[in-house]
Amino acid sequence: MDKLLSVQGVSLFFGGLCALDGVSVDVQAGAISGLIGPNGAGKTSLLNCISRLYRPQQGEIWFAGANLLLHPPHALIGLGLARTFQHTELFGTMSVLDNVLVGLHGAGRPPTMAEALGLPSARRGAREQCGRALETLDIVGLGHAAHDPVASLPLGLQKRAGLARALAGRPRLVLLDEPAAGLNSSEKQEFTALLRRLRAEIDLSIMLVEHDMDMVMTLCDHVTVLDFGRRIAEGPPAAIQQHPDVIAAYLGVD
Amino acid sequence: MMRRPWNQCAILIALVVLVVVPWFLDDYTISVFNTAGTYAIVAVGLSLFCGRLRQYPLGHAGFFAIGAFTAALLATRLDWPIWLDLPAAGLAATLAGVALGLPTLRLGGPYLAIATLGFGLLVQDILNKADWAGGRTGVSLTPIWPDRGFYWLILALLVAGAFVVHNLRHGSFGRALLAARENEAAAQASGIDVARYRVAAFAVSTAFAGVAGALFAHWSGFVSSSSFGLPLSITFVAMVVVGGVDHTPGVIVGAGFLTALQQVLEQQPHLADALYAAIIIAVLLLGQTALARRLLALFRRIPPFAVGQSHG
Repeated sequence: MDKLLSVQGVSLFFGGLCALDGVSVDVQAGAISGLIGPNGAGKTSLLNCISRLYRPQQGEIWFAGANLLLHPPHALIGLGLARTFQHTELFGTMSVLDNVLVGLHGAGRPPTMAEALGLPSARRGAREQCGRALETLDIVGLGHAAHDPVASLPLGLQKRAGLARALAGRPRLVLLDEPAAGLNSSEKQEFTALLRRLRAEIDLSIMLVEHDMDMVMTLCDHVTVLDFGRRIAEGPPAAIQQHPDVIAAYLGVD
Repeated sequence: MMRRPWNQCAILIALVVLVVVPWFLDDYTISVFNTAGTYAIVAVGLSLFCGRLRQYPLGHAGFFAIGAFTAALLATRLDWPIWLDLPAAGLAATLAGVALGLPTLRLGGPYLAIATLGFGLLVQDILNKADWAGGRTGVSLTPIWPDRGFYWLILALLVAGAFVVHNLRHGSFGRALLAARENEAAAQASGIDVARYRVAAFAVSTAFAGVAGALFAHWSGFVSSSSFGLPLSITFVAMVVVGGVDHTPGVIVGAGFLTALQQVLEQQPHLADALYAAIIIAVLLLGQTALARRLLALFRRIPPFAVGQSHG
């Protein structure tokens, strides 16, 4: 398999505080890759470096042959890299459909001038985008709620709406920040099944930051463990569970 | 978006009335309509920015002045025809808008209002001192048509502008602006270049102000820096807010209403200012939604003709 994402020796400091210390992580094409670690280990910081919300002081991040650090955050979806957020960060005043349409922003949007003049091509483009957004909602099982205000959905469905928004631009890799947080166990199982289905059906690679060990161990092909901003282990889930450093980090053994 | 058929019907009827009405009006009333129309063009352009981003710039009299003086100077010094003047004025105001927008649109909250307010005052001051722009005496033009001719041109451009703003507001452009306002990080992750969209929306509003300024110069036949001060900038924002920041026809109604009010209160300018302030505060207190729509809702609560009211 090819490396789709390659994080090489990334260090991130907030003033004197070292959030990430020379972290390297790879994600293979077609893989579901997990990023775990205790609270404050730097998981979300690393995700934010990859999605260009933070600028690391050292290291390189490559995605599908592109040096990500040379691209602004709004250009990533065009390269095939999307993300979700821990607290969904949906556009609260919009409908579910409009949220997904925002996710389609970079993909096949009619030119602004055509839109301003109300040209037939713009109307056609808007209809096509609507169709694609509805398809994406069907994929995550939210087609029935397309016209509901997104804020009216329960959290489990909001997470799906956030996923649909990320998937709308047809990314090759999606970064998921704690997809299981706040879900009950049946919602977690459904979400796990959904992610598996997505990999199989739309050829999606996934990197997820997650606290829920069940989800990580059943879903991931490969797991990277961070602690205090350092990578302390990586490998297949079964090996990670046995890894002495990982056990020490989680249980606090010196 | 589904639109109620009576909405379209009402707009169509209003349009027909507006096209026909100048034949029945005296010159003074037409000049009031022309003022309202030029101001409405500014307000409509501004409503895209204010409505989607909920920020209120206070310097659009400056862009209006740039448009007015560009047109007046090109017409008097270089004998440019009006159909070249108008786009040139729009372009000049847009360039100024982009130049001001690039550094200041990062500012949130009241700071954008303050920065644009300063810009408006600066433009007025420069024009006041510039001999090449007529200085204190201003510039006089010879109107090429009677007021009624300008009326139809202003109406046509207002309708075209409202159509464009409506399309942008409800298309992917407006959605991107709304996304940028609600959650910048998520908007960026969705591929929206937030800074560029903010500047683009601001540039649209300044283009409208520039063209409106040029129309004003041509039909009134006289431009002077003294008429493009802070009160005018506040008037533009008041028109947007009163009409309902997100509602294009409402903004036009707001512009008409405030222009009419201005005419009525012309003898008492201080009273007019106080009334403006009261209106803005009232509208903001009502939750930034349309005063016009609130009044409409109130109106709807009155049972139509009280027919069949057997329960209650």
